[in-house]
Amino acid sequence: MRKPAGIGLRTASLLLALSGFLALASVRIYGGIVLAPALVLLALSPIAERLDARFSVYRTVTWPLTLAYFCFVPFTVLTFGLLDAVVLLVIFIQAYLLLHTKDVRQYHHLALMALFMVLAALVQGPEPAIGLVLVLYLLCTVWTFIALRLHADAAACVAPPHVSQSPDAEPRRGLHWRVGVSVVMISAGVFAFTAAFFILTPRTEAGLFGREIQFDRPRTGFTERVDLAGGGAVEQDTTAVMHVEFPDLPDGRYPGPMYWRTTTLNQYADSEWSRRGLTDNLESQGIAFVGRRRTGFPFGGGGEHVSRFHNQSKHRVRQLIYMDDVPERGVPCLDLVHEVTLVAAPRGARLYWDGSLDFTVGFETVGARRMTYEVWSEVGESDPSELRAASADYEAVLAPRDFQLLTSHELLPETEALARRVTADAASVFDQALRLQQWLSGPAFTYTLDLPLLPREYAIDVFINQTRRGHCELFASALALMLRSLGVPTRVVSGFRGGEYIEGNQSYTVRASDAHLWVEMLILGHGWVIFDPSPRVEPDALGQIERFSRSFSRFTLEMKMFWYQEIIGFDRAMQLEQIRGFTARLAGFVPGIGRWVEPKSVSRGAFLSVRVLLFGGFVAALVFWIATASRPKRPRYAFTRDQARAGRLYRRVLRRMRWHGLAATGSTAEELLESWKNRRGGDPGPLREVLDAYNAARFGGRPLTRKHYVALLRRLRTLRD
Amino acid sequence: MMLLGLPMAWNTGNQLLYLLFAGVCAFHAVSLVWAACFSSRGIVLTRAAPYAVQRGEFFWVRVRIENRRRLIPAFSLCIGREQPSRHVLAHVACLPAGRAVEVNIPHSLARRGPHRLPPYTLFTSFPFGLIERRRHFPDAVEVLVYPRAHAVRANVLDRFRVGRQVPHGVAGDGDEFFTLREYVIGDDPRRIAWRVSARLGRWIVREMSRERSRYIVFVLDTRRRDDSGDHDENFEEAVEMLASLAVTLLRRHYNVAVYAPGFAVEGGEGATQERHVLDLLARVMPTAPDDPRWADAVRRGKESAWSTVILVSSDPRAWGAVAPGVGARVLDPREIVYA
Repeated sequence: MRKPAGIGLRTASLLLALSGFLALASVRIYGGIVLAPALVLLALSPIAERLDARFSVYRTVTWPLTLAYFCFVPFTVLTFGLLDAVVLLVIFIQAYLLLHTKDVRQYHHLALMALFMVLAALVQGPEPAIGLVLVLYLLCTVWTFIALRLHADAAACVAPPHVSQSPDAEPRRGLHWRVGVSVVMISAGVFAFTAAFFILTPRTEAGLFGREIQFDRPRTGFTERVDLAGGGAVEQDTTAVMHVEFPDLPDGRYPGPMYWRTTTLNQYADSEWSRRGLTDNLESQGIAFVGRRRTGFPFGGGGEHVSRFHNQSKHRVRQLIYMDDVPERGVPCLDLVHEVTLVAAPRGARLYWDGSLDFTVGFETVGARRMTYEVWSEVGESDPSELRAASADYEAVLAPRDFQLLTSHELLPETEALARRVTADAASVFDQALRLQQWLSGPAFTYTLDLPLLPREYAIDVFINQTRRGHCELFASALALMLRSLGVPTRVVSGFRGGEYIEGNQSYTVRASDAHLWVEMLILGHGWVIFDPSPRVEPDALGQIERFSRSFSRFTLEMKMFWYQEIIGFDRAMQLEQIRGFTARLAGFVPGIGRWVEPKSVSRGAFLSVRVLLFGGFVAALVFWIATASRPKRPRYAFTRDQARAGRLYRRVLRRMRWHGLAATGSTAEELLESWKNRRGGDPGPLREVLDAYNAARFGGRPLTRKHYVALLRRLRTLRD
Repeated sequence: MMLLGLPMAWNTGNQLLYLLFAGVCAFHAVSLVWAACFSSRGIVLTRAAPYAVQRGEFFWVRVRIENRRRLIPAFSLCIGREQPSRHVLAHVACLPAGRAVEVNIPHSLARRGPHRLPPYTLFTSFPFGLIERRRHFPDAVEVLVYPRAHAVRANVLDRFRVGRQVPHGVAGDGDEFFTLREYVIGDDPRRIAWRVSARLGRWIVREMSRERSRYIVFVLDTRRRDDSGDHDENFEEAVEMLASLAVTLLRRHYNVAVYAPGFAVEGGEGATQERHVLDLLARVMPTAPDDPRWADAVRRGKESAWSTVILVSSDPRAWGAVAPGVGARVLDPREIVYA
């Protein structure tokens, strides 16, 4: 290199390298640990370049290390697998480039390694943050290549001539802001073209060349437990976890209480709730089937859609839900779920009914646990009079083992006696549950997230009899165990409660702080009925920071949803839909077309043709425009003013010759003179004078002033036979 | 990436690969659009060179690059030649819209005669280096290359005392004062008029009168003699020698005329005559051995009765001898002493 790279090129190349590492960091299996060596390399890069430039012994040290690593490469393949070994190799090459001086070729290699890093990240299901990384990557690539072009062209200049700026040119310091503006404008062009190509590139079915998807890392399981012992403050996490829309309801508002059911926990032991399968859940009790028939649930199998038989007495409500991280214990749906359909999910993901048949929907996927799904739920409460009239002979209906499981409580006799006292005047099990719910929600108990310490043994007893302060888990557990002590089968349900309504897009945002535990009690003939003893606490007036935090969290979730739905989920169906919509809008603009073009009636094949035509037309128009614009034009001579004037004089001479009847097209000045002398026999003096002046100005570099030019024209007019 | 990216995306259905492929295509598309619309459009390159230079002398070709666009600046413009090999001579990093920059590029020409400068080409591969646009700017800039003219000592004329003398005094090495003139290299330093030089700030010498002719006629024999060894090299030397002598004498206010077959510069003095003589000597070329115009040149040389006639020939066998049929002595290059 003739001269070192400027600060712009160095900065751009470092940021480009950083974007590659950031891309790898967005992959869950690598994580942020990848950034540690990246930051070290970037910090050392300027120092290492100086050392390499000054001391030849530097390379004497680094070369053996490089050779040693290449000997190590087969080992990395065996240990980490091919993909990770390649990623390690790319990182090593990038590190080598960063720690040595670079010429034009090495800068290109640096950009290529960054591209490989981004590519390695893209094929491993990165987090939505990859979207921001790609923006940074594109911007840095534009900046790097522009700076590199300026540097390379300056370095290619053979001899530094004396470059002088004309007085009206700006001084050299004006270079930087113009380059910055050009980087911005060109980046905008790149982004626009990227979006256009992304939208218009034809999609096909995956596996076009015969590749199959392997499910080698399923992540399912219902291992969630609720531990009641312990204490301490529980921090409110306001991270938005669910985005919910009610497309069929006016303004998207749901009138009733919203309980987003995830799964149930029915086994209680050692102050801990857990989940255990039952012989028969009696879910069909509420679904127009009587008895112990297991119809109603096509359990097992599954796929992109699961459903069960519909309880005709209930009204159905549709929800569209996006979740960024679906809990492993189950898919949250509005109670009581009837049908779930995947709208957008990682390829190969599937839904299924959990085998315990408690309306828990399972989600199996490889990679990120995010999806958009449509839920149909049965809503509507049973008539209290009917609930009161239900039988309480549970032992006759439930299997002994199930009855034992659903009524075991481990409460102290004092607590049992307390439960009997509270429900003394209750006529039915429903009334018993209501009494206990009202008692727990009353002024004797306080809802708080700052929990007092509870012992491992008899934690609920301490809560009920002494502390009487706690959160939803304690309240729900208290109700469930007290009901169990009365011989009523009860379980707790985990999920979310409520959500924040957003006016702008008529949707609900459910946060992590909305996680909740409530109670379901079995009422024979009606199924499991919800009870929620936790008092509703109105949130305190939010401070500025809290409000900003909540807004930012909601914005982040919506951006993730946009990324996941519009970019990751932009498949052929969506592309077709967009083209269909575009055509419909176009039909609305162009009068007359709307009459005979009904977008929904046009066949799928026609729209496929439209899509192919649009893409092909776009590419063809671009190529044609470029080709015609770059057609080489006839070379134009750059004449001086005097030469141009001499040219005009010569055209006048030719015109004069033609006027005199001489064929003058294509003749040189000497030929003209000869032909004039031969044919006309007249005085060639004026003609010779004019032609001499023409030659002198056109070829000899002599001046031809305007005054002289006018005088020569007058002389030309005196030309006679 | 473009060739493999789309099949990879098709096969995997990964939308992010579509995005990456779209990005790579976007880079190429932006390069195409920039190359077609903005890279060299509106850029005008004009050159100016001196009318004449001496052989082997470095001279500057002034190149003016003008951006006639109204809004968009031009970046990374390289000016150079493509033949015989690609050569970048100048680089302009940024040329704002509506502005111009001038670049002086050194040149030298080794051969005497008229030369049309090779056309310059404007290269640019901004912004990404993916596509290079070239634009040629052929123009009609010609440069005339004179033979080299060195200062010589004028005492070589002593051997050519032929012809009538001028009745009035002429400059020479006599005793009587003739005139004051500026010093030229080769003058005797004892002739410097110090007081006048101090007053004027430049060296002035006293020219003494001498009863000697100051009209010199050079006749250049351009006829090719193939049996005289390396004729072209000898011819070039002869032309340079003639140029040196003529320039030296003209700067000493001699009246010099030059004749050659097909060329003639009548007698004259001063800088204009110097230019005419050098123009002739730049264009004169060897001719056929039986060139009929030789006799005409000799005749014209002998016409002036006041002149000292000097024959210049590239034939070493004729040096120093009197040419038969001409009656004039041929100049011997070995007698020339360069100052």
